[in-house]
Amino acid sequence: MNGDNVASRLRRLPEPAPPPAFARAVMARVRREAEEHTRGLTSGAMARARQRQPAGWRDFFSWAVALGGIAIVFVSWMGGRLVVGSSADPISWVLGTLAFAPPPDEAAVPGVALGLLLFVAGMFAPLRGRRQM
Amino acid sequence: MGAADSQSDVRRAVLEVKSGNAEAFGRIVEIFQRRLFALTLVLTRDASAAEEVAQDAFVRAFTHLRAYDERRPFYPWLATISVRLAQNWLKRRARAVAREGHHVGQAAQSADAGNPLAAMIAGERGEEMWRRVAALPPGERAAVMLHYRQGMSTGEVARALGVTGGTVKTLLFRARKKLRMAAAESQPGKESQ
Repeated sequence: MNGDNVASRLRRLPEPAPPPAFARAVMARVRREAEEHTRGLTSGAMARARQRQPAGWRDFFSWAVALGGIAIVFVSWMGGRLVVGSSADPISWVLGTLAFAPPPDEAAVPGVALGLLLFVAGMFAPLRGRRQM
Repeated sequence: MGAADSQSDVRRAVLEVKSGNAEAFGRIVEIFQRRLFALTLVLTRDASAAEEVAQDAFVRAFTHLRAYDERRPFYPWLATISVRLAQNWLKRRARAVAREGHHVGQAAQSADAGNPLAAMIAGERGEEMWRRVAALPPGERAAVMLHYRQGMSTGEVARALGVTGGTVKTLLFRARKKLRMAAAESQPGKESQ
């Protein structure tokens, strides 16, 4: 048998048939894979939808909290300073009548602290939202 | 059905599967099941392993169909997957046989003598040739099957086996020589070298 003969005999070799249920078994597994893939995609999409919130609403809330904190600090500070006839008014402060703003009265301190807390919470709110994603 | 019809059928089925119709994969199984089963049978020399490996190859092709480039022929890509799976199966079996030392003789005997290929082929001539092919070492067996019987180019065979084109040519040369010698030994009066 020469080389060409070997090659041609090999080319003509009959191939054995697979078992009768072979194709059915393969397709059963293929369908299972397709179902699992679909289930995986659906649960992933639902999870992403839950985490997603309207960006505009979240940003507005953060800004409102931060600005609200600033407002509370300002009001508390000035409330502790602005009494009838007092010279510690905002204009003098800006123009430099007072080189440094005097500390607020004790009664105003909780308000200042709360305001600062809200301000910081508002500033970090977007970061918290991103971490959850 | 001609080869061109089959190719366009396969391409159409692949596009349908990629767009979400898993049932279209049935057409691909129908076209290639016989060829793939024959390949895995030659590689594993075990009928139940061949069935398992061929099934796994089809399922893996389905799950990784996004990686398949429709511009290339489908069967070489599928054959590459099944060669890898068959090689893994052979390694696992070799480890199991080595661990269970006293079964080595039994396993070797069943691999050579059982020869499910020969048992599944009707006709004396096919049976004898399959028996000789099955007796080749794994690399030569795979190269012979993929190139001569299944018509893959040496480049495609090289990719499937994970070797160079030169190695494939060497494997084919050695395989042809052994098959010639085996034929000459079995029919000393009729065959010539």
